[in-house]
Amino acid sequence: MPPAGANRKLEFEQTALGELPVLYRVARRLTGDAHQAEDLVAQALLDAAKGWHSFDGAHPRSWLIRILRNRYLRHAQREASKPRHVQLNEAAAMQKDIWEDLDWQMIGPKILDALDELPEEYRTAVSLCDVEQMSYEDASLAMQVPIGTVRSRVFRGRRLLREKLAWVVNEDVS
Amino acid sequence: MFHNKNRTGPPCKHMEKLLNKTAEGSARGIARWYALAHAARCGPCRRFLNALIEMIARLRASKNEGLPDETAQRLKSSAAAAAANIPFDD
Repeated sequence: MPPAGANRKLEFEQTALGELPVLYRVARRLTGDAHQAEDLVAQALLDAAKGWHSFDGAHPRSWLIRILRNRYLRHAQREASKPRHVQLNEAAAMQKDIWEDLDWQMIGPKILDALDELPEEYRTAVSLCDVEQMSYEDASLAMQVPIGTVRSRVFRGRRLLREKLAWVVNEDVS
Repeated sequence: MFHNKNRTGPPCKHMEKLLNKTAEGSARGIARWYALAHAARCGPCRRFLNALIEMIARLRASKNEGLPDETAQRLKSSAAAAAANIPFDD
């Protein structure tokens, strides 16, 4: 019979392996860099292993993303380095032309680059709810904010993303 | 309800949330019907809805890009290393 801890290790490893692609994609969006994303996932997994004994088993994806994001935010705060993003003006994002048809052949590969340039709270909300297709409830658990806040961030994030994409097209055309 | 297909400008302020829910698929029943009916008659809201649907579809599709093999291997090793840190004693 395996020791009690062996099962816990196995359970952790199986849970973590199943969530690795999601964790990496979220980390990639948070850091904006492939190597930093790998480091962030590795550190988050260590944090998760330490806290595995207190995890109740519900919403493992949200739990792991919460650990990942907290680790990222602590790091960003410690380094006093803000995530790279351009200043976006929501008033500008309401301009009429940003909702006109865009050339998706041109934009397609750039959509994630544009997402990477949004402020962190919007980037994470759009990444979790639109890219990962998590429910608002799961995203709220991951982000530790109320569901209404997640919803609001997703809506505003989409608006900012759209503004960014329209800007990308205009830059490429000019 | 607006009946101006040719109007230009931003979408109707009061419709934005509902159009977002419609675009992502979370609006149901009469709410969804109302949003679609409004968008059919309001140019800016129709363009807004179509643009959102397209953008969300692109974002969802980006999830399907797989991890590079080397990255996947390194991440699996990280998971195994983290699991090894879990103490045996309960």
